[in-house]
Amino acid sequence: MLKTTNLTTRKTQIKETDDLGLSPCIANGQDRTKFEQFKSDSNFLKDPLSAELNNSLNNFSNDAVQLLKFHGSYQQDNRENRQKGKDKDWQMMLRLRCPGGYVPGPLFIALDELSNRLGNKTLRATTRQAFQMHGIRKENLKEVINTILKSMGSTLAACGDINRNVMAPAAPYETSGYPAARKLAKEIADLLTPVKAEATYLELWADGDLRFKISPAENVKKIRKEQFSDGIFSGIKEEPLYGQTYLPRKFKCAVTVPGDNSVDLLTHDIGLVAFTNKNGSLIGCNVYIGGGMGRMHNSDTTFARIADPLGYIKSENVLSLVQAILALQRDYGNRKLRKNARMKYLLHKEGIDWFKKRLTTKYFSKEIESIKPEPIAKLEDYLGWGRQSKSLWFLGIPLLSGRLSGDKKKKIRLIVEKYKLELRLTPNQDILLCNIGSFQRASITKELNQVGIYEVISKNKLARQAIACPALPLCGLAITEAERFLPKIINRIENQLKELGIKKSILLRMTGCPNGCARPYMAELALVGSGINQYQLWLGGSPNLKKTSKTISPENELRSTRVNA
Amino acid sequence: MNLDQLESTLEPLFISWKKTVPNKSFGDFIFHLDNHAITKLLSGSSTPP
Repeated sequence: MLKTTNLTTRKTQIKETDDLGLSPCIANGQDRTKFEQFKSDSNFLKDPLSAELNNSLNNFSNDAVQLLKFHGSYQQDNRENRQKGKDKDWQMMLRLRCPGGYVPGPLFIALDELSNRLGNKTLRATTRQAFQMHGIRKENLKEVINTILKSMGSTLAACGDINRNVMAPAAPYETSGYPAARKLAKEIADLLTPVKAEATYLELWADGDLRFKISPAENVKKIRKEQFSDGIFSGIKEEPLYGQTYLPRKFKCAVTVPGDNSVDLLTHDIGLVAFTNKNGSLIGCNVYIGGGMGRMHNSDTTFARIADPLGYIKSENVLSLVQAILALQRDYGNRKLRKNARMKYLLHKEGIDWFKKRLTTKYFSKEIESIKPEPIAKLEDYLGWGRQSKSLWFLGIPLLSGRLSGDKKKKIRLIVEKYKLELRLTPNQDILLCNIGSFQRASITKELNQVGIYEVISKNKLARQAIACPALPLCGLAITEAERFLPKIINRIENQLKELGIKKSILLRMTGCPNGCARPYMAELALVGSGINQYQLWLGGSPNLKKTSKTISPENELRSTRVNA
Repeated sequence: MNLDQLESTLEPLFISWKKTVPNKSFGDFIFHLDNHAITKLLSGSSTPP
C-alpha cells in the first residue's frame, strides 16, 4: 500500500497510476531517505543547529552541518593541518546570496573587513556570482552573518536543497534588455525565498530582527500568494512552496538576454532568455529546463546534462511558470537517491514531453508557446573598460579563480570606498567595478596600475576565461588540486600552443572533483581531479558553452556526458 | 591522466587540430571527430591518458 505524506496537496494525494513507475518521490508517496526525514524533523532548518550555536565546541555536529548549508555555510577543515590524534582545524566557509552578482559598495567594504578580521583575509568570487569567505571560526559565525545582514547582504539559501543564487549577466548595461534580465533574476530570487526558513535564519543570526527580511516587489508578492494554490501548495502552511523537506537537491536558475551566454545558461535547472521591447520592458522568455553539471566518478547513472528547451512564455506568466517548475521538481524529484535527485535526472528519465504534460496538468495552466529564435550566443567576460550608460563606465578586473587577496584586495577596497562604486561579480569569477564617471577613469586606472592590476586585463583569452574551483586544502570533496594549480596549467598550455604555432585560444576549466562547481563539462578542455595528481581529461565543449564534452575512460574508450540539444 | 603527461597527451590533438581545421575552435574540432578518431590520436601520444 502506498504511504501518503503530509507534503502532498489534496490534488497530488490522488495517486496517478503512471506515477507508480517513477523514482520514489512525494507525488507517489514511496519511501524516502533518513535525510529527508531529518529535514522534515528539523523544525524548518533550526534544530539541532540552534542549540549548537552557543555551545563551547569549535565545530558543529554532522546533523547541524546539514542545516547550516541552507544558512549559507559549509563546515570545513584545513586538510593540510590534519594531525593524527589531534582535533581538526575546523572553520566555516560562508557564501553570500547576490542575485545577478550585485554587491553594493558598503557590503563589499564590510566583507573586506570581516575577511581580514575574522576570516582568512581573502575573498573569493564564485562561479555563481557570489562572494565566499573562508576560515571563519564557529564562535565568530554569528557576528559575521549579522554584519552581512546589517550591510544589505544575506547568506540565506546560498547552499542546501533549495533555490540557490540566481544568475544574470553581470554587465551593468542600461540598454539591450540587460536591466530587465537583472530585474527578473532579483524577482526570481525573492519569489523562491523560503518563508519559515527565513524566519529561522533571522532568529539564529539576527535575533529575530525582521528589518532584515527580504522584501519582494508587489508583482512578486502577488505570485507568492499562488504558493497556496492547488499544485503549488506543499501542504505546509508555514512553508507553502517548499514544505518541510524543501527540495530533493539544490536548484539553480539563471536569466540572460539573447546572444549573451556569460551565465552558462544550459547548465541550470531553469534557464531563461529574456526578450524585451524597444523600451526595454520584458515581453517574454525562452525557457530551458533540466541542466546540471554534477556527476560522480565510476557511476554511469550520474552525468552532466544540458537543459532542454521547454518553450516561450509571456512576461506576465514567467514567475508563475518558474514557481510551478520548482513545485513539480519538489514533488517528482527523487527523494530516495540523492545522487539522482537533481531535476536533470527527472528530465532524462521521463522526457520533456512527460514533464510538460505534468506541468500543464497539475501546476501551470497558462499557454507555453514554441521557443523563439535567438541569435548565436557568446561567452562574454566584460573585462576592461565598458560603457555602462551615456555618462557612466564600468571596469572588468580579472581575478584568477576568483581569489581576491593582498594588495589587489586592499586597492580595490580603497577605490570602491573613495569613488563610491558598486561591484558586480561575473560567472567567470571576475569583478566589475561599476558606476564610474568619465572624469574618474584616468585616476582609477592610475591607482590600479600601482598594484599591477591594469596590465593583467590585457592578458590573452585563455587566462582571462579559465576558471577553477577552490579544491584543496579546504573543500571536503576535493580529490586533487585545482585553484592552486591553475596558473601553472595555464602557462603550460599557453606555452605548448605557442610552440606549436597555434594562435587560437581554448576555454579551459579545472576542478578537484567531479561535482562540477567550475562547470568543467562545458569547457573545450577540462581537467577533473580523479586521484593523486591524476585528472580526467574532458574535451569537446564549445567556446560559447552550448554543448557538453566527453572524456577518455581508463580503458581508453570515449565516454560522453548526455548531449541532448 | 597523470598531470605530468598533460603536454604529451594533448600534443597529437593540437597538431591534428592545427593541420586540419585551424579556423575552427578546438572544442568544435574535437566535437566533430568520432570517438575512434580521438582514441587513435590519443594513442599516438607518448603516454596514454
